[in-house]
Amino acid sequence: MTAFYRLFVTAFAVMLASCAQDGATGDIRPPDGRDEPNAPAKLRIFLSDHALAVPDNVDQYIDYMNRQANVELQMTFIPHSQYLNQIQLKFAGGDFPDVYQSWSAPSQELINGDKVHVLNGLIERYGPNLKKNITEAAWDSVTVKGQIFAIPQPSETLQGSVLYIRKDWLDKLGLSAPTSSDELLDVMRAFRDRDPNGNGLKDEIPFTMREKLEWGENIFGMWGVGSKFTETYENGELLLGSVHPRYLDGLRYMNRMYMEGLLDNEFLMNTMSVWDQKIKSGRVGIWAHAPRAAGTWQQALEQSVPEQEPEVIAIKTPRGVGYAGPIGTRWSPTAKTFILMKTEADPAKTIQYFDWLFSEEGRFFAENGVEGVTYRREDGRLQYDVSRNADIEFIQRNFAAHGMDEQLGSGTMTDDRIREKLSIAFAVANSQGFVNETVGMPNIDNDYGLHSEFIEHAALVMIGERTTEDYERFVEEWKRNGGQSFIDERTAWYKENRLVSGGQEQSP
Amino acid sequence: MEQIDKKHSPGFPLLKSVLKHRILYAMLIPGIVYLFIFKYIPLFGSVIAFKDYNIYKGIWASDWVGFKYFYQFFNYPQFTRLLWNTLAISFYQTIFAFPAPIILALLLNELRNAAFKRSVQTILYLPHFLSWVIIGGLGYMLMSPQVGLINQWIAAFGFEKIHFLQEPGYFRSIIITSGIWKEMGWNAIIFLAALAGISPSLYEAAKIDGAGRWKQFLHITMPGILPAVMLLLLLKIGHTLDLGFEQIYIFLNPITYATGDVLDTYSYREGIIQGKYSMTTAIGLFKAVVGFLLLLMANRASKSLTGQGIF
Repeated sequence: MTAFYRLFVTAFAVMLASCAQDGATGDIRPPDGRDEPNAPAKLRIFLSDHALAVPDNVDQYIDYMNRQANVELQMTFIPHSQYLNQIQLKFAGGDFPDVYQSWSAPSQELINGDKVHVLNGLIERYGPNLKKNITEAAWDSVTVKGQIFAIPQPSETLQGSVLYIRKDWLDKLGLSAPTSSDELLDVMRAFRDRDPNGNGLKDEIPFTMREKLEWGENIFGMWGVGSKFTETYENGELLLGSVHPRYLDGLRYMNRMYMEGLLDNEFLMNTMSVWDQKIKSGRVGIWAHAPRAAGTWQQALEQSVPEQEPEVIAIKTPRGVGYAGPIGTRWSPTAKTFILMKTEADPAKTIQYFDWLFSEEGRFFAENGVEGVTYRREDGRLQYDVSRNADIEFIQRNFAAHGMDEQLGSGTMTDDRIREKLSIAFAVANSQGFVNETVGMPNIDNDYGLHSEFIEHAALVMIGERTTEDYERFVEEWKRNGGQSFIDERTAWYKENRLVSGGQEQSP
Repeated sequence: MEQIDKKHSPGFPLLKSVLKHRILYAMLIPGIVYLFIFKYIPLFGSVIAFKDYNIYKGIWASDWVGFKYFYQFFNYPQFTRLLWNTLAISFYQTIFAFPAPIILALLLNELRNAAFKRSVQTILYLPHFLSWVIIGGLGYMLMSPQVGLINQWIAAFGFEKIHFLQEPGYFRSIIITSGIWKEMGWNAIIFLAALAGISPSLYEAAKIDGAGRWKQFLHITMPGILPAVMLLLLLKIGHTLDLGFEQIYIFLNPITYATGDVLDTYSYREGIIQGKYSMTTAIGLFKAVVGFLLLLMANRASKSLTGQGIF
């Protein structure tokens, strides 16, 4: 009964909250500092903490931003894992901030409810640095029918996932990096049989991934499809990866990997920490992860298995046999977004704050922190306070709004070797991939159970309990039960709003 | 005094009694207020099961959709599997997990060395304080084919390793066993309390009459805890469709959906994650109605069979 009860308590909380909303909207804010044009603008911002501890001296950094950008920031850090749920509940309770951070454009509900600012004019007038530094693809991801609904943080790289391989294993066995799906199989077989970690045990895991098929996208990417929330437009239809005909190639390949003992046989149970430990224990040959993690993996493995002299390197996604189109993983042009709500009296000041974050000074702050706190200048070089490295990460993840900035560098990239690992990973991530049409499209309200269902069917094919024909039957059934109308609706929207704007030519 | 009262309110014995015990009744108010605010008012929130609930519009302004979400739920292709899994796991819980603490309490009750009894009891109820996440981790460390202790034994004896956690056939046994291990000691406390409530004079009288330990158990101990057992059994039946979301969710993976996907995990996956509050409320309402009907039936059956009931 407890789940049921909890639900009612939640429902009640929501109800109470929505009652409170009426009171809250009646409270009209006086326009701040109307008489003094330079009075700092008060800004209430909701941010995810990105699962990082808030530094004890966070006020020092906020004060710095306040001074430099002439604002008065009031930031609320919300735990990353519950972030979207929490802000939904806050909104339901009428608690609207001036700005909230998200990862996409605001939901259709908020747009329809006239809760968010359209930014086109404001950016034109007050955001020269925004215009200069934000990529076209990032703007597209937050633009609906020509109206810009958020300030996007451009991604560092086009793809968010690259393959990592133990180069020391390759070298030891005299192999080169695989470039086709068949070569990848051979490399994995060698990892399985020839004891590359040199402990005399057959404990190598050629490839591993996380539960719910996470971090396995590069395998499907050998045939140019993604699995979750990735739509591609081909042959007049806009299809989600998991119902795409070429998804079957990925499933067949995964099945082969599983049967031959090349895929971690616990791939459905690997929590993040188990997955992490397996790799760090020097038993895993190939895995997929974010390009940004290239340096971290190298350092972590050097610490945990120094005797193996590990060498981690990012490689391009191999090409699937029999397929000639674009390969890799979906392009994600946007990392975070910032959405301005109509609660604020003067959105121009908010734009000015973000414009400062995109200025040279703001970007330098977001990568390095504050002089005298996180670093000192000695003979023209920056000397970082090691104990403040976590602060720099916090600032980068939470405050930074700009994308890749190799020139400015970053406080945590002090080692030249690590810097090289990262630049290889970034280059790999920018060299492949395909457009994800889902970006910037209206939110999916009802997918007729696809995302909660397909994983089971896919997993059963992978472990050989079912065949790809069974999977095709599942897709057919989904289409019959509303899936086809879903595809038709999305395709129609796409044709109406995207194809007319002059094709999808986008150079990586 | 009494005569005056009678004169003033001849026809209201209840009112008279309330006035007489007004302090006691006043003390009841916080309890009633609590129940009303936290148990009854939230009930009105269940109207969102019949509405297309939009959190920006609020409960009242959202549009009515009738039984749309119930229809969607019952038409879910795997609905029968969900219901069957829920009932099967619940049935096993009632058969195996429900009697476990009773048997444990009875065994502990027969121990004469108090220090030993207490230490055993403490050790057995400690797992209750571990969260399911930790037990899920322990389960992985025991049963994983790569690092699991049990599988290392199996391999040491020369058998093929078994993917316990990735095999639908084992799922329900794992759920029941881990549930018993975690909660048996804790649940035994209530039965131990019931056992402690049996008057020692009954045992003494039985001994004088020549009853052995078995006869004492049969004629004194058993009838002594039967009311507590019946009460808890009835409550358990009322919760037939609630299996405890966390436990199942921790052990579940796509391969074991076949035997382990239950109403709670489905409503989490399909409803909570995707923000379909109306859908989850519809599922919750369905579970509550079924649970209530089962409770009524079980209560009636219990009353006619044993004379015990909860209302």
